[in-house]
Amino acid sequence: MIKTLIGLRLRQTLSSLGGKKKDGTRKPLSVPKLILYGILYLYVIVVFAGMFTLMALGMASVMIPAGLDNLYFALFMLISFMVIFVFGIFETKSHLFDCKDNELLLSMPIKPEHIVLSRVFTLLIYNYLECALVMLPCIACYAALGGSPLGIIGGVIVFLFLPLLALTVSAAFGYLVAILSKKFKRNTLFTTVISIAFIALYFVFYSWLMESGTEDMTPEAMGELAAKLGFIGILGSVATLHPFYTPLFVILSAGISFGAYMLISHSYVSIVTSGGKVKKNKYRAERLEKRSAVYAFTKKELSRFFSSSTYILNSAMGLIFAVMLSVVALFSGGELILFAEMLSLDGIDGFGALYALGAALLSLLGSMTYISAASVSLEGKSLWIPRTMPISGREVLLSKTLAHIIIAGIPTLLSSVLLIIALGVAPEYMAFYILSPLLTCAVSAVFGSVINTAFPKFEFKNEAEPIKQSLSTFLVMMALLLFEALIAVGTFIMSVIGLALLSAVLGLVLRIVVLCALTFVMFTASARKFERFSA
Amino acid sequence: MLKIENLTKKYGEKCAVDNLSLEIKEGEIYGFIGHNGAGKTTTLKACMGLISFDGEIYVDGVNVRENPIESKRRVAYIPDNPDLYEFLSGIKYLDFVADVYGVSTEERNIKIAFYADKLGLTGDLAEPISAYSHGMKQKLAIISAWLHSPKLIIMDEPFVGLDPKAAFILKEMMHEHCAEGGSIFFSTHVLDVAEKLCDKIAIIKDGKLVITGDMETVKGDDSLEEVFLELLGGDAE
Repeated sequence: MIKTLIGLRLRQTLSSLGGKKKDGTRKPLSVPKLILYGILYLYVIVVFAGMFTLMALGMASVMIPAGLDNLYFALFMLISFMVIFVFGIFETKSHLFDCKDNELLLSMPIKPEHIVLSRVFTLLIYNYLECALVMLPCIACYAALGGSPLGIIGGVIVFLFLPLLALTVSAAFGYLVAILSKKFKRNTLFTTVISIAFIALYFVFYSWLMESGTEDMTPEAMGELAAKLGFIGILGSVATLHPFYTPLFVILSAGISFGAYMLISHSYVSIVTSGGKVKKNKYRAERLEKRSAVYAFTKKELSRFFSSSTYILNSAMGLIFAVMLSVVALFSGGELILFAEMLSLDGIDGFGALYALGAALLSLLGSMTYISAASVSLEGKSLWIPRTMPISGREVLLSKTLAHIIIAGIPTLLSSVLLIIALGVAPEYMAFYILSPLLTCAVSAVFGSVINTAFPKFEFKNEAEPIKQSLSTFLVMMALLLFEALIAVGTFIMSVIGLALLSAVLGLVLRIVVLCALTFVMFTASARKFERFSA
Repeated sequence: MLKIENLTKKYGEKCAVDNLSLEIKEGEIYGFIGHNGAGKTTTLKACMGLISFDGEIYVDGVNVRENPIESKRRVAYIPDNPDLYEFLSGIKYLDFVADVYGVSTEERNIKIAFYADKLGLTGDLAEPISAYSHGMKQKLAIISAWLHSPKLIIMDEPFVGLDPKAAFILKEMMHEHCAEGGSIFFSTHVLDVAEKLCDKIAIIKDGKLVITGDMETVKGDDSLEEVFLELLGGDAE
């Protein structure tokens, strides 16, 4: 039975990448699509693995000669754990507790622990992949730079058992959220706040780590860092085959995971079938005013977004980062201004470069918002509603785009204003700080609608699938990052040669041109395609 | 009110509906019956423009394919399984529907209060649709269909999930709608209901129209069930 269930989960994951035949049945992934997926996933792997390899090379070259192998592994274990945990929170909760086929499977003669085990297995695959991105570069660099064979073996042990521990913690978190959210009327707000708190914690740790690491990378400084780490330093000894801590780590990882699995299996039925004891909303008749169809659809899209913590946290992360960056700049903007002054002494337009790059960076963060990239897919089984109503595809897509702009526009504007204050931006650059991120926000909104109409995913077991694991979101994410990164690089190069203002103008013009072209596509080809969707 | 001319719908090699033609006039309740997979839902979906098809369909003289927006203004549709926007409350969903169909402020407030009260849904209107049972969702879909005074209402298995009282009220509403000049086209497996409710009936088998006409003409002295089983050669599911 377990084999059947695991096979089912894997087939669901793979078939969700494929298309749909005209008779409604699934068709297998075509070879060109398979190649496209391969290239895209390879790209992501190369980017992340490259980033962690560079980090590992930098650290290993200093820490191994200083004999700080423990510290080296401890830091990578923590990063790896946090990466798995942060990316796995929503995945774990949606896979374990929010799947649409929960009731169907529970109505069959299948033991709940088998259902849980099949889902845990799929989650573990994701966790091992994420762990591999961090730990394999760590082990490879350690081996390449003369690390001890014991450390290499220990690193492999960590790679094998850390995902189990991380999955247990994220499952426990998901379990806690699932239970608590049953007790709260506004459980979306509850889940969102808790999750943002965890993400903030991760970034506080990460920035502290980077700050510590960018100081003098001398053995003495590293020794001080190790002393600061205390217990965390001991963690690293697990990877260097400590006679006590390594077996303890293995036993704890396996034992706690098994305990958590038993606990979740035991209470699985009550968690996924309990409606909770939420007080009923009392209806008080209020006068309903007539509005336009586009207003109604936009309002519906806003309700859709704010009703789901998965949607908020996965598709609007760029907004959270942008606001965080601006707040940080308010407190440490002085250092950047000092840096600009130093550049100016060398004959470079330091302030121009700072202003132009600031606007480009804000736009880059703004491009990490993919609300509209899943909004067509999220119509799902309700697609019959817009398709039977007297509303054109153009109006539906416009509403989805407007909702994205409304949600993203306000934090974007706030970030721009904060950054203008923090950096004391010169008047001639202020317009770019306001317009560039807002235009990026509009480009992202329209592009998301266009791509999602081209690659919709109407059938899904839980909403995380169209939001996180769809081709549409992936393409939008990569294309927008590339687009904004190219503008940022261009801005940097032009700023260095004294053309900062011109680079800002060109960036603005480029975004306007792209926005116009995408809007044309959305109102013509995409709108026609939406009107032809079968429901 | 509804004219279907030579409707054909193929899914690959399989012909779901084969050259089907029928006409529904003003004030008629038209029942559509057939075995599972006979092509009922496909026909109803084609009338709403939800799927591509060959042939022509006119709603109140408006071509569904050439002028979809205009034809949709005149029709309301209730699918067999009303998957509504679960994140909205009942009242917000009705307000949304009223906005899209341009229902005036005055009219929407009166109609929502009237139909919600009639179907016993008023107390649940503030609840999210995700908390609704199948029957409650069906009631909400019925209110939303009647809300914008469509000329034609198309329903796929509308009585499934409704309690006896709500089913009775729906039948009453269908009669009232047709008495006011509207028309209703609905599919059902409940032959007793079809026999008592419909002015006209169409029986479909393997995508082909087997018989259509006035209820009395179709069934003669037999019951509708007997006619249905005889026409389908006893292999109806």
